[in-house]
Amino acid sequence: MAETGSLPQEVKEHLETIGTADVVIGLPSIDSDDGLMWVAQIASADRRVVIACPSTNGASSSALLEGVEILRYVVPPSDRYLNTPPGLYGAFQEVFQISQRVGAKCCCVWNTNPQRISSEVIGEMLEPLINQGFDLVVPRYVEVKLGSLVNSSIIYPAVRALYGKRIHFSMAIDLSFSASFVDRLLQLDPKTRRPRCHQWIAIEAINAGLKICEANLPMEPPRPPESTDVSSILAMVLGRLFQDLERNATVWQRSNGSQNVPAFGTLLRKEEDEVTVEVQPMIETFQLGYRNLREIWTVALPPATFLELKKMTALAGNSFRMPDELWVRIVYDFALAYRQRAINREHLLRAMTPLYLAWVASHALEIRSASNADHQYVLERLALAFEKEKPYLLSRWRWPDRFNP
Amino acid sequence: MWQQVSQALNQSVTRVATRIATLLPGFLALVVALLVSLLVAWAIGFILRRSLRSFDFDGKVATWDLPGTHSESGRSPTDLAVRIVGWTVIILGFLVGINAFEATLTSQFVAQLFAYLPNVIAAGLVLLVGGIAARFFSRSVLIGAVNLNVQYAHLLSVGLKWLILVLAGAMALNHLEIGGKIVDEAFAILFGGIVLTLALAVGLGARDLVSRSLERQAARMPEESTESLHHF
Repeated sequence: MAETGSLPQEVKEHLETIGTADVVIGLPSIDSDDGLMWVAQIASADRRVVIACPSTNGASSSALLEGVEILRYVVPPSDRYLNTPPGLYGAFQEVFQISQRVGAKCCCVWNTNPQRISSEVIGEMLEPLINQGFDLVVPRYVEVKLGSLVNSSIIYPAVRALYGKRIHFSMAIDLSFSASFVDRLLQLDPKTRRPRCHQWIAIEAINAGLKICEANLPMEPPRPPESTDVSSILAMVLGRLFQDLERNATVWQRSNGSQNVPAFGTLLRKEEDEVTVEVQPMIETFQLGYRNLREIWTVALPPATFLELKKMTALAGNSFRMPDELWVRIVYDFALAYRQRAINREHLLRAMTPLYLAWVASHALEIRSASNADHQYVLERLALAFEKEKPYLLSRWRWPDRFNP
Repeated sequence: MWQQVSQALNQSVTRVATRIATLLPGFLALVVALLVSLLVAWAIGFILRRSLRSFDFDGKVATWDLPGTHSESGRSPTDLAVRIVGWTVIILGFLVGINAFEATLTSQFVAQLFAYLPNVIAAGLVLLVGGIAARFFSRSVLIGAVNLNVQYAHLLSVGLKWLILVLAGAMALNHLEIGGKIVDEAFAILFGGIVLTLALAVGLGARDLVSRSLERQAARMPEESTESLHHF
């Protein structure tokens, strides 16, 4: 088995002293021993656990509690994380290697704040792997009406329509893996002969036909740093989605319809009364975009879509709406333009921000006073529109030069 | 007397005829050189067009996002490349033909022309890079400003585009050694004028607009932080 990279010698020595373990919990973002103790207390339940966390003062290992070993490893200098903002994608490689070395049955990488972990969370994230034979556990966070909008508007429905699996937070960075999936992720990519990309592990698992499940966690989705602007993150997330579309073209073109994945734990939804959001600036940004970004939008969007957008510019206030079908076609058209490289890709992705804000404004107005059930209905309707319009994407993907009014 | 006039005219006609007779081979050589260069240009153009099309040169260039190479401009990059090569061959043929006239005079001209050629190439490159940079940065500014809901996004974008183009134009003229110091001074005046105009426009003309925009921005910030809207 080809293994990507290798751990530093001193980490290997510490691992030899530790021996074997049942579970490895990786905490790449931990920054204080308080958090470490908290996780250790939660984790030490009838299992031999290794908690792996990065260190700037060299590698070390110590027994924190009975059955719980702390392994501090040094992150090697690498350009692997340079293109990803901190907090959005995690550092999986070292934890995978540690897990493989100690022969763990499963491993959990918790990239967000460790203070959010509880015994319930650990249980939900690990039990399906240990007792049910799943390969990947993806968290499903508490649903908030106007939370995770990029996920609700693009990622979830697109992944569902394209790959046929209803994974609600496929870009989550807190994940649990079986030993066999860890082995697979440590192998080189047979096509490129390079280390596998760990930025969208759920898609990797779907493509490999592995068993995936969701764990309903009693917490809201993690938020990126406040300083990150919508345009940059939207461009990065869309870039990942569209790149994967190119890479996995043979997979998603074969997929038809969608299926639920098994879920464990109780699904929670935040009870919210009427949510009020100032939508006028978003509508103004869209109108400004329509006036100024036509040159770029023309590259991606067909005339019929432009006509629809023109009609939207005349809508004001509470009557502002973007039909689901229009939004779906916009996403698919941008994916096609991204593939054709008709324009600088960064420009193309950033130019989608006003259109995305138009969808957000329309969605916010639609669900302003909706109940949780109505909110679910709206999201389901959008997801079905993505599935219904998939033949459009397929057709234009295969025959991009065909006339498209 | 008439005999002397007639003799003078005869001599003059003879001299002109001799002169024309001596130039005729040169003319013929020029015509032949031009015809040959036209044939060579056509042949090279034919081969070049076929080879460029065979590996989808137009499609590849479209991905580089160069100015003036988009299909809506009606010029395909393949046609452009074929035309450049064709005209280069024809000009070379013309220079060869010219050289057949008067060796000393024309060879000096040709030598000067070739000495000037690097300047022309450098100026062309400067203009090309300037055009690409102007297009790229003006578009970046336009998208960024629109996403920030800046109402004068288009003005900013066009202003930046012309600043870069003026800069590139002045640099190209400098390389061509045209205008001498006048170009430097004109550029300094023009560039300074644009910056001063923008500063005055923002400082005086759009003072109220800018202050209102900043007030709106400041008022919006605490409001957004309390909103229950999260994109991620």
